[in-house]
Amino acid sequence: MERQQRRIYITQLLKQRSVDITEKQSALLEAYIDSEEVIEQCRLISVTTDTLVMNLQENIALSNIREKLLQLPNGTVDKPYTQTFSLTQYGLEKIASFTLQFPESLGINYDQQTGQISGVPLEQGEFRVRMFFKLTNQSDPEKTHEKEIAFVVNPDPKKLWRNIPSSADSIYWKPDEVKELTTMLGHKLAVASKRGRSHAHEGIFRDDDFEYFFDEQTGYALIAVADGAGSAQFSRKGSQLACEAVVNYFKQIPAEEYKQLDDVITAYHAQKDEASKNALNEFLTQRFSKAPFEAHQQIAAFAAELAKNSGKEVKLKEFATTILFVLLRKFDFGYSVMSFSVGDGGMGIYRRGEEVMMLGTPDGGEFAGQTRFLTMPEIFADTSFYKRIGFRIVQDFTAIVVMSDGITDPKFQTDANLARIEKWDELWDDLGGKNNDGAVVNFSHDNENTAAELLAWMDFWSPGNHDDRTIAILY
Amino acid sequence: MRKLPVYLLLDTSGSMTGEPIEAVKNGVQVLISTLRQDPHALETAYISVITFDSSARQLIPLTDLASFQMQEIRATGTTAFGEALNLLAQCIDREVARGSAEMKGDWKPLVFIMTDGSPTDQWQNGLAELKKRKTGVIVACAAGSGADTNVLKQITDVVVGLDTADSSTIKAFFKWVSASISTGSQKVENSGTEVGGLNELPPPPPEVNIVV
Repeated sequence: MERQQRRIYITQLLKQRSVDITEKQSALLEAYIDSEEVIEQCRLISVTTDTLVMNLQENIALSNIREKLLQLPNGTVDKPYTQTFSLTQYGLEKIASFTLQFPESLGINYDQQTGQISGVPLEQGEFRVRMFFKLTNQSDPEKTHEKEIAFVVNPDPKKLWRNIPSSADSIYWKPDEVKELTTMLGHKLAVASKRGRSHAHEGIFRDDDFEYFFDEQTGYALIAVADGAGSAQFSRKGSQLACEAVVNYFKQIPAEEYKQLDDVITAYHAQKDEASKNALNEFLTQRFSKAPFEAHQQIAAFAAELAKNSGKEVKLKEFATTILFVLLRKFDFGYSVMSFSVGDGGMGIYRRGEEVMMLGTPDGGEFAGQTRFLTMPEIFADTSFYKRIGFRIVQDFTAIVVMSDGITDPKFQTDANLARIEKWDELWDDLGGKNNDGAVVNFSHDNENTAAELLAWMDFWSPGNHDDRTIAILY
Repeated sequence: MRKLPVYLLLDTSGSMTGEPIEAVKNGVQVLISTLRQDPHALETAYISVITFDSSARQLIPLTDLASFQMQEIRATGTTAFGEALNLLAQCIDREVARGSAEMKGDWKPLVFIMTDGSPTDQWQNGLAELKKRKTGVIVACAAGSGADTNVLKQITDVVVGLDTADSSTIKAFFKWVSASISTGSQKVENSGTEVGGLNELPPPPPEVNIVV
């Protein structure tokens, strides 16, 4: 302490202790503070108070650090993890130096030199990372303090999914996956349908279905895809009934009527005159409203029959299903494509790199999971019913695709994207092998494995998208 | 990807001091670690925590389970319940995507409310705001005998009660919440529909009583 400091210190001390100093005594005091004894005592006091304050500060800093809930950003098993660990990011400015110690077998290390935490976590769980540190200006320079940091390693979601076969003894059972390859209209049709992971995890059924036919004699082909509502108890049967009913309906139309339709389409293509337009509209409004209605009726009858036999109430909505179908015919000027859709999923006529014509608009809602079903009687009364019906003539195509929302949700994300050629090109490239799974679908006509390859491709991983997947590709 | 948003509204008023607040903190931790083992939830569920005492704040914005980290909570002050409901309405506007041609909508949010007292603010205004939003099931939990179940009844049909706000009871509640979120995420993925009401949630454990 300097003389002035000593003077102030002692004066204050005396005041604190209520020792009054008279005018006469003050000269004595001035001499006293210069004495060697006082100088030494003051020095000791100074050292002691400094240590006291320092220790106190150190304890406060330590307790602040100890109180902090420190967590590293979460990692995921088998996924490379890199983080820069900085003291300021955690408000740990009082720390002068530190090291981090991860549990030994975790596969994560801290590099003191670069300040990087990196590695590939080998184990999932909630771990404690030990931080050993020293404070700035700590009283005992040798002392190391310790603090735990929480570190969560998430499991790999892919490994959490189970694959439990559905019970073949159950009512309305159908195989968990199906694939078919056939020839129609001088093209090949590959169809694959596979139970979603969320169903496989529970050991429940595939609710999607499909059906098709090609009549050599009339030259007409039909492809139908249906997606049974997961919430409905018997929707796996509903989707099957819907596809079968639609196929049967168009099979039963007399060859004569198809012949007339050929003429109407040819005339319409050539002249676009009122008469052929009306005749075409007549066919579409008649047949394309009766076919889905017929399917609706057949499902209703099936439900009524079940109710009768079981003696229990069976609601039609227990068979809720969507339906998408196309009726196709090849002409010398191109292809006629008639379509109908209720519910989500998507259909399109795709010409690679050039154009996609969407068939129908998916029925979506404001929130996820709101769609329309063939089993809802109100869809037939709705004024927008005829918007469900579509007609196109195309010269050529790369593919005509009909797919359930198990495919459109992950591959197109939004309804608007279904109309974008870039997204279709992406899908086509993806099918051709541009994916992370090494899955390739070879669409050459002499490949006999196209459907099997398509089924394998459908195993693709997309977080949160684990619905049943069905896709029919005419190529 | 369609999120399943889950909002936890937690009372952090002064009366929660001590064991209850610690139990809530642990409860959320247990909830998160349990859900992380469920593949449906891990991929679809997003969790947000809103706390309310003398005012309400969104402690944790809507976050996917894999990145979720619980923050410190402390019990203090009064019970601004209305403000919390109002804040929830705003958070839903901001964080829950509505479907359009350009975007698939999220699932309707699940809401879990836990309180041990009576509102000290004009809670009806907050409720009026919340009612304008579309939500999935709202579960309100009255923790201990001090909670006003009459208020909760006006917010939702699904009101449950805990006889005491001790740690094992609160833990049981959060385990049930976790099972309910699992059911919810399973339901949206399997069937494309949301949980409709209490009858579609897993049965509550004995510690959690249904208030009728």
